[in-house]
Amino acid sequence: MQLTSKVSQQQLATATGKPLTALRFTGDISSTSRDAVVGSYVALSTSAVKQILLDFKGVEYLNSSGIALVIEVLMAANKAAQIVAISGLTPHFTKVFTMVGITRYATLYPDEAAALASL
Amino acid sequence: MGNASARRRRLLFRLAVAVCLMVGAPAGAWAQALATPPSAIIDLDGTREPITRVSTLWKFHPGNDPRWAAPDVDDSSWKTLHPQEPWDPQGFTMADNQAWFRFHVHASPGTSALVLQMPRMTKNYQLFANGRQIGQVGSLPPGHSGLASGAARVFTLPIGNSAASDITIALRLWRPHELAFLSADILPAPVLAGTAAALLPQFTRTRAWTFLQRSGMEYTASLIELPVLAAALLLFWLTRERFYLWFGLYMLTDPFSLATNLLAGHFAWDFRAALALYILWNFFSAVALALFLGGYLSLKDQRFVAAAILLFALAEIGPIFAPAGLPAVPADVIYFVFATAGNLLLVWLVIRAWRSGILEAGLFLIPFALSVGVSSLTDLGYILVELHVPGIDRWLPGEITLFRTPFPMTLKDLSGVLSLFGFLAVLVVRFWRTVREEQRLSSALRAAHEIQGRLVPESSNSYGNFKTEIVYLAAEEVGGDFCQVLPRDDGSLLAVIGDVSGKGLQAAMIGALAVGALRSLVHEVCDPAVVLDRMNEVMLRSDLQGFVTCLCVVIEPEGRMTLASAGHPPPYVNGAEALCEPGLPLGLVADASYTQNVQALPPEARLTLLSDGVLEARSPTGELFGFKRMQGISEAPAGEIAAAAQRFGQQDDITVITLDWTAALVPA
Repeated sequence: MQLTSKVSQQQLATATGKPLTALRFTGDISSTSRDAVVGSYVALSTSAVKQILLDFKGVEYLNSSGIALVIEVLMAANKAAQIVAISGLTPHFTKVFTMVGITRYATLYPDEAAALASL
Repeated sequence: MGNASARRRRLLFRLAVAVCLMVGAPAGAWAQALATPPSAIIDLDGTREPITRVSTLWKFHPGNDPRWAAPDVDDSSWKTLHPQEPWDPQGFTMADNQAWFRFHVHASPGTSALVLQMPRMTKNYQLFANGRQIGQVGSLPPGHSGLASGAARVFTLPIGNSAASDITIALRLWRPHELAFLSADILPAPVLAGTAAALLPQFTRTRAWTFLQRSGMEYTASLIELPVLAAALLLFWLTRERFYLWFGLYMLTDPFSLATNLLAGHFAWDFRAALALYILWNFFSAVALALFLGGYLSLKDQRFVAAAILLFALAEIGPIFAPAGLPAVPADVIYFVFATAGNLLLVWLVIRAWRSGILEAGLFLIPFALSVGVSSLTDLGYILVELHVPGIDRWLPGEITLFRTPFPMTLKDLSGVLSLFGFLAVLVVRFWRTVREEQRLSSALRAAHEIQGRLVPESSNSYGNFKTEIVYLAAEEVGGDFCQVLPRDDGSLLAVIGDVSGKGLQAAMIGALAVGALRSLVHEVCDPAVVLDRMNEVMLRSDLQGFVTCLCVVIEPEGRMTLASAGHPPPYVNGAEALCEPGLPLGLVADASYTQNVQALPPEARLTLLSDGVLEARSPTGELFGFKRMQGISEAPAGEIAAAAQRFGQQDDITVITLDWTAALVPA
């Protein structure tokens, strides 16, 4: 059974005090998650938000269509010169994200704390 | 009750009253032609008519004393009144909600089977003849008693066969104080007496005529609505579109009302139960209408539908609290305000949908708005008439009757019929569009399957010292998996497997584009990284939206394997994952560059390529098939791997290629 994808937004600060917008995803990320993944990114101001953390800690399942949405966000963020970090991936999806070349556009971190410490 | 016109938006409170009272009116009109003796002693023989109206002058005493049923009670001191006229003008009130009435009938010698016809009343009563109870409708105090709405009844009067008979009739009436507003009259229609031979056929005819007057419009509407209901349910079954179901349930309103009216002709209904049933049904049909419109108009934001339902629920406060003592006018005003607001909200939703481009909404906008407008004005008219607004009878009389034969039809009824046909037209148009869209989708699906069949050459084959097996298991939707195993002019073998993002015809088209690009390169003997670069260029030049993951492997005759990946899972060589540099999927960016890896195959090697449908297979508990399981079975034949992933929980297309390579024997 597919779980509905949900997203919540939180304003954080990195270890160096820079503002960072975290988008926390839960549920399944698939072709039906466009509003949650792309929609939540599009709602952010490209001028005000310069660092984004995509947190997948609460994600149960992520298929190739879901990864396509993540790539779409990364391409858009890359165009807008935004820095994107990704955290909370399971080892399986860490491997998948690496495999599809996402590391060219975003840095993968094991968890949110590691991301905040490094950014 | 009226037909679709009156549906939902009549004043429910009035409806319940109408249910209780309507029988009386026509019967009363009919009875005007009958003999009408002037006093509380009625000589049936003296009228020279087979049927006599006996509700002329009755003795009356408020309160209750069971002894008043006896024939020898001295009722000379009792007051006399006209039971078919209201209490107040005669100077009486039914203050304690109980009263006894007495009158006497005189039957001539030889009269047999004398009967008494009581009208339908919203009062409970007991009827006595010469001190013996001969009938009762509803329950009366002491003990549990609830107001009943009984049908017209006929009771047999006991008479002797030889001598002339004097029969003392006593009638005990009761009604709850809080429901006194239901009727100002004591009796809504005349009480008749006559021989069974004369009265019973007349009673049957009158009842049939009354049914036609009360329910003719409803009956006609039901004849239209029941087939529409069946069609709507059939459409729901065929399409699974819920708005057909809601429409079907909405169509039940008149048949339901007709059924209850038919039942009410034979049974005494507890008034509160009947009112509760009508309130529930009225609300239910309003909800069905709102949900039908919400579903039909495909409203993403259902808050307006919820708001309309809330307004309809608030409208029922009036009818709910009327029996508890809420005066009639405020009850009607509450109903009118909220029900009208709910209806206008629905009309606004239809207008908004029409303006946003849903042309079908325009089809029923006019009849629906007309129905709502007429219904609301009718209800407003009722209220203004109740408030005795001068001249309102002329301008806004409540119901406007268009014709009376063979049964009355009001303007409200007519607007409802028009509304019904508007809805019908809309549903027919929608169904036709759905069928056409399904045909189009079906054609697209067939085309996609045909393309898919060419993208994955499902077969086993041998090329020199290569032996291949390809297995493809389609998911429910047509996916975008593709693979090709192509021998090249230099004796090498090019094996490619890919997966297009998305599903359906679009994905199949992109897959076809990728395969076309690949085939055009096969004779150029390019390196895998170059193949991917060139495919990427083709993908970017096309207008098709989507991207492709792809693994490209070249195996030379001596066992040198070169591979490059565009975001695709790596292959397995004799059960070990081959080293493969990550790369962006095709069709995303122009400057994507692909790095290739080179590996020498052992003398006997099984190379296993797979689509992500294997890795993404998911068990019912949510567990992924994953890389580890895949590695565990990566030396199995393609068919076994695909079947294992499918059993685990197929989510996407599954494609597996096994490529067995054996080093050519070098002559000694």
